[in-house]
Amino acid sequence: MSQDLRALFVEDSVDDAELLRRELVRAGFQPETERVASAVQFSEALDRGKWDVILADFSMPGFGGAAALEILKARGLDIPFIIVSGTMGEDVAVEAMKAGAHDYFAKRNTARLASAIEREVREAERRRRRLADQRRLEAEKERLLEELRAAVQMRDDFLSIASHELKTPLTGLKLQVQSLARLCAREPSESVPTAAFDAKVRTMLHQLARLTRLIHSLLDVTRITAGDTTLARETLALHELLGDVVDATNESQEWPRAEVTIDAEPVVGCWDRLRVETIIGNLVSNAMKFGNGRPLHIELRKVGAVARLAVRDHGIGIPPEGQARIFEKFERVVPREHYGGFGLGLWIVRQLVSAHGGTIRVESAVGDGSTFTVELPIDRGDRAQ
Amino acid sequence: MNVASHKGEAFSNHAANSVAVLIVDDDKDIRDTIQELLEYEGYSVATAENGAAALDRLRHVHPQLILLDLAMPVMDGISFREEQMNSDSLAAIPTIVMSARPDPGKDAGPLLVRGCLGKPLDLEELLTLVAHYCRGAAA
Repeated sequence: MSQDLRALFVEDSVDDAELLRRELVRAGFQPETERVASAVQFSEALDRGKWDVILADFSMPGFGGAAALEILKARGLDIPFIIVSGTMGEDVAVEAMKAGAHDYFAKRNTARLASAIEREVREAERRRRRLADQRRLEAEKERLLEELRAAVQMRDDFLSIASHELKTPLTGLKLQVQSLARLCAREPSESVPTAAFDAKVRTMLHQLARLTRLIHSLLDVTRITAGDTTLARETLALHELLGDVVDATNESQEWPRAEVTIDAEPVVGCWDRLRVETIIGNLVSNAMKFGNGRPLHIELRKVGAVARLAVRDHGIGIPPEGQARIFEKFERVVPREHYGGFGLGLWIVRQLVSAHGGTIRVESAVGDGSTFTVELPIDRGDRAQ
Repeated sequence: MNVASHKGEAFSNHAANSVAVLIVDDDKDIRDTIQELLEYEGYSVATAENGAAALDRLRHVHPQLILLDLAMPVMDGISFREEQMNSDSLAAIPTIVMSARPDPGKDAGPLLVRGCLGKPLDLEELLTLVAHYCRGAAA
């Protein structure tokens, strides 16, 4: 056995220290030793290096094992500390162990010293590892807890946004239904002009559509968050779908009506119809919402094996620092009071685009509008999944 | 005294500056719906899509009641209310807050308004309040 050992001696006698060193060599250690005899020297030695073991005389004039243990404890160091003392009565031994020494030997009776050192070094190493593990676990726990807190906070914020958003169409709907009930209660039904009914029912249907859209986006989020983006692919003529979705979005009247020009090449591919409708619908309604009522330009091109859809508005634009953030969940670059919505539209778009193996990017300048470009592989993008 | 020939008719014959209610809400659906319902009850209505637009409208119309949403772009209901209170000619116009916030009464408290309606609004409640502040405005 030949084990490296950095041993610090707290010993006023040079000879005793040398004897101890030889003892260690004889026991099979390759010791690197240093002798200190005062608090200052001891502290300096601790500053200088990493010690495997401290061997200390207990009863030295001025400075001894008890004082050394104090210093060690004050520094919070866990180094095996073994008393090797000339005079070692029971009472002194008990005192030393109480003070924190790991073991004790009389100077003329050190037969078991080597195995005690080995054992204590091993123990100390185990304690250190356990402490490190514990600290790592604590940090991990703290991190998870922090994540959880943030998630709960986000959910609470979102619930409050969601209820606010749902209340708006609900207000219109409730007023119309109540007014219809009032109408029915007041006049014999044949005298109520059909046109009045018709107008009310039309408004109610519009509010219902709005509520339905909000609820759909809530469901989209729930599904996507649960990892359910299984695609129901079918052959689609993207240019035809594009026209339909743009018309439907413009008719919803939720945003200032915008003049939309579509410049579309015929592109046929294999995608999930509902998901692609959501992608286009969210991009177009976003462009209307933030487009200041200015014309939108939509372009669809077949570029190699990819369908490239670009939606350009001339609205408020997005500052550079906001451009990455807008694709995150619940993020919005504008204050919520100014533009309603869940703050989920672009996040949903990004998730659905990547489920198709596609990409999305934005180019934008404040005041100059934004262009969102989606690229969807035309052949089945299954390999990506 | 406003005169309405019969319910549901537009009030084109009114003096341009006298309306019963000014609705201030950024949501077009809500503005349109309340306007339609109040007009159907015989009240004349003006609308504005935010606080700034409302101040602009108030230079030309003098409503007997303002229905005020709180969360709006450009100028929200709170800022509008401050501006209104600072104006001698506008401060006296009774104002009622409409809000979708969880505790609208708390939000509206410091605004010194006459009342507070939580969204979704209740038609009867709305009509009772409007009738109270706009006596003689309806047919």
